[in-house]
Amino acid sequence: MTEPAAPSAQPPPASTILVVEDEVLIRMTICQYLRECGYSVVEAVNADEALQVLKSDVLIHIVLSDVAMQGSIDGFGLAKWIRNNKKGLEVILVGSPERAANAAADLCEDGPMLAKPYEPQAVLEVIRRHLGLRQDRRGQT
Amino acid sequence: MQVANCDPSPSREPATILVVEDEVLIRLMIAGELRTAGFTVIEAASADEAVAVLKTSTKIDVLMTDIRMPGSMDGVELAALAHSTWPGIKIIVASAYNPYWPTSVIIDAFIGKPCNPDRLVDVIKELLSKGSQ
Repeated sequence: MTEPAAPSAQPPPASTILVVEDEVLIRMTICQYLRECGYSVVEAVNADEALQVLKSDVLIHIVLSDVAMQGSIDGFGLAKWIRNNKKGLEVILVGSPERAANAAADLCEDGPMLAKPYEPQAVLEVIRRHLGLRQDRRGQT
Repeated sequence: MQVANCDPSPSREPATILVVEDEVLIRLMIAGELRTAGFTVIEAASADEAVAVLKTSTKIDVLMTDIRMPGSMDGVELAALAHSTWPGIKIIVASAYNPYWPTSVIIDAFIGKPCNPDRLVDVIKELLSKGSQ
């Protein structure tokens, strides 16, 4: 059963978000959510990978990046490079899973889809469950 | 666009592919092609990341891994671990060379690099159509 489309409501072309996050379970959850909001998402595990993407011909509209990451530069360094080399490219820096989930929720509000796929609080709960599971397994001998 | 789901039932969820590749531009190309083909794709940049994903409740149908990657294990070790710990997952190894395999049956398919995306999609569809064996 399909819902009738809103009259003359054409969603804007999907923007591409570059998500930079070194914790795979956070990155996986955030990226899945953003894709379900209608975005095209490119994933990078650190700023070094992000720079490879930004220097390529892949068109990026928004960068959502963790601050603290291993590699030659952190999120602040990445934002500085973008400011100097990719003027006009929006950069969102987040320092915690909560901030990442909130940023993803804000992006979803402005996203191509007419409605959010699910409540953004669910994103944070999934992240917490994944991280809690991982911490429990690390504690096991 | 051909839908990757080989099951005629329209209610079946698309298969989930875990792509493990440490070179970001290769990884995003492969992941993009697989998403275009209709699969759900999770990306991992190392075997360690792949294991973290496999240990969650996320259902993975196919594991596709490179061999040479930084981290605590390479793709051969990851394939062996996945084969023994998560036997229902189909395993594809992609590499520019054919390595020595510690046991005769670990992987379900081997694909040479550079990877032809159409060939990869065909291999995945074929593996999924065989079901659990």
